[in-house]
This record gives sequence, structure tokens and C-alpha cells, in this order.
Amino acid sequence: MTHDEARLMLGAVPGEVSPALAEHLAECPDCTQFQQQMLRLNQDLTRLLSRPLPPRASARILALPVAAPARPLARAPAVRPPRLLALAASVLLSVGLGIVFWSLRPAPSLAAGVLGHIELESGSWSKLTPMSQAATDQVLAGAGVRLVPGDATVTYARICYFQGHWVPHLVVRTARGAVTVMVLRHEHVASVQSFRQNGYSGELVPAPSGGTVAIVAQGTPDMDDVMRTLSPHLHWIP
Amino acid sequence: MRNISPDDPVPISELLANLRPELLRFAWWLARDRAVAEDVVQEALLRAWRSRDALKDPAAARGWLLTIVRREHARLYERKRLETTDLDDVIAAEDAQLATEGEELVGLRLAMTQLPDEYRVPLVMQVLGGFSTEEIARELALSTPAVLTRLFRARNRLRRIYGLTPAPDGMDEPAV
Repeated sequence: MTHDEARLMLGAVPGEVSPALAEHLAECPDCTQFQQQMLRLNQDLTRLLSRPLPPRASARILALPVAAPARPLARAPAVRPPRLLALAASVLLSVGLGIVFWSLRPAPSLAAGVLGHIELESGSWSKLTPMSQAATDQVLAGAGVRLVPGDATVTYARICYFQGHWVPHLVVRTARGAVTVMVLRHEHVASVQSFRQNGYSGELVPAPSGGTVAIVAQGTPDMDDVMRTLSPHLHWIP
Repeated sequence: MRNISPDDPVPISELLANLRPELLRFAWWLARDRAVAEDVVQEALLRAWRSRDALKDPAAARGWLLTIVRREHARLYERKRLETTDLDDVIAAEDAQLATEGEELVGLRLAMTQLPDEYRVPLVMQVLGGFSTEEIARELALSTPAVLTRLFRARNRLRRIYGLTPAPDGMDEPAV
């Protein structure tokens, strides 16, 4: 084995020493020194490449405000307080909750997580081309629900990685506008939770087949109306 | 040999989730950009999920996923024709990490970010991915001698940038 051949192997695969290479190293102090350098370099390289990446400086989901707006609201309250009173109460409650939550540093709520994901895929709202029923069925396979379009149109259907699970993420265009539907079989809410945050309105609804369905619309539409429009299109599979 | 199914003790979704940090690290060293790496991994996981039936042996999941990430990275560059990341930007973006990293590895990290793709990709596949020379050759559509040469040149460049003494006889790149 020549010096060139020996160094090629030592540089390319430092940990592997064939009998021919071992024989060459035994008689060549220069190549042995080269081998030591390569082994040391490789150790450092392994350490460097195995290090965990640092968290993002601006973790996008965690950066979302999660304290005050995540307050669960009773769905469709029977009696609405006067607006000024409600506003004042809301401000006080928000400030109070904000202070409490800031001191406790809570984990992001499910609602904030859903909104964070939707914001990451904000392009989903602008899709206008209808998805085929087959594509929609494929995305919803195993989710315990089938979406029957009727007069609604599915314009976005994707399986997304969300909080450690793969979940269907759809945008359905109904007569009441575009609605995001995420089927979260791994999440469980005891009752309907409403939220308004960052220009979105949404509800977390216990799914009849288990888990939770997140329904999110842009703006501040009447969510009862949105749910009434959407519900006939969701066929739950026992 | 059997297919992985949702009924397995370790479901495929959990398998993917467990391997995600490693996949992200692998993608980062390919792309040298956190946002690109996250996009690559996201796409790779989606692709893996769709073709999950192709994974016959759970023990092979790691290599299977790393291969998908590598291909997705290559596909991203083909599709978007991404401009080469400005090295100054990479260094600036990594300042925070460099500050917390052991001094002895700072130089090596910078050296790695300066390696051209043709050398860095096979090196990352070998060191981080654990791919053999033959597997790298097959994956990158190169001959085995060509991969050996690239791996040698990669380490030799690192050695120079890293500040180790030159090869005893001044030989940088052997004839193959």
C-alpha cells in the first residue's frame, strides 16, 4: 500500500483499518501521525454533529400570547352583558389573568397551539382549488370522521405534524366563509371551549368518535352559526 | 419482516416523533439553516407517513427516515433553486450557539459551515447518519472511489481550517 492509498482510507474512513493498512502503518510513522490527526478530528466531528440544536431564538408557536385570550368562554351565552361593562370586565380579567399567567409561565394552551399551527400554514386560507373527495378521504382516513362536501368545498387537506401527532388539517369553504378543521384524536376536552385570538375565532369541540375537533374561522363570526353550517358536512364514524 | 401498522406497540407516529430531533439535526447540517431544515423535516415526515407501508422493519426506521430527509433536502434545492446561503449569515445566525459551545469546537463548526456541499453532504451522511461508503455512493449516485475521495477531501479541508498540522509530506489530495 502506498502513502496516498493509506491516507485516502485514513481520511475517508478513519475508524476502519484493513490488514494492508495496518501493515503500512506499522512501518510508516508519518501516516501513523496522520491517522492520529484524523481520529481526533473525527471524534470532535462526532461530538459537534451530535449536539442538539439550540431552540429557535423566536419559537413561533411559543411566542403566541397564550394567557388572557385562551380563556374558555361559555358557548352561546343566553344573556350578554352590556358592551361597555363586558369590555371593562374583559380588560380587567385579561390584565389579571395576564399577571397570574405570566408569573406561572404556563405551557401553551391547545387553542394557542392550534392557532400557532394555522398561522404557520397561513397559506391554507388562500387555496381556492377544490380538493377531490378521494384526497379528502385519504387525509381523514382513521380520523373517525368523513367530510361530505355537499354545498361546501374542501380547498385544503393535509396531514400535519402537530404536538407530536399526525392530524388532518382541512379548510372547508361554506356559505359562511372559510373554516379550518383539525381533527385532534389525541386531545380531549370535557366541553366546548371557545376562543378568540389574533384575528381568529374558534372552538374546541369534543368529537363524537373520541378526541377533539378544532374549528377556526377568520375574524369574529358567530361561531354558533359557523358550527350549524359545518355540522351537516361532518359524518362521524363510530 | 412485517409492515408497521398503527396497531404496533410503538406506533409509526410515535416513532417519527421520537426521531424528529435527530432528523432535524441531520437536516440542519445539510442545509445550515434552521428554517430550511424544519421545512425539509416537515416535508420528509409527511412523505414518510404517506409511504409508511414501505417500511418493513421498524429497526430500519432511522436509516429510512434519514434517507428521506436527504432526498427531500436535495429535492428542495432542485425545486426552488435556493441560493447558496451566505456564510456570513450562517455565522451571524449561529453566534448565540457559538457563544455557548465549547471553545474547542467553535473552529470546527465554522470549518464545517465553509465546506462545499459536495464534501459536507457525504461527510454528514457518514458521521451523523451512519451510512456506509457504499450506501452513500448509491444514494448520491457516485462511485465508491468517488465517495472515498470526497470524504478524504472533506476531512483534509477541515483539518486545514481546523488548524491541525498539514499532512507530513504536504499531500492534500491523493490520486485515486
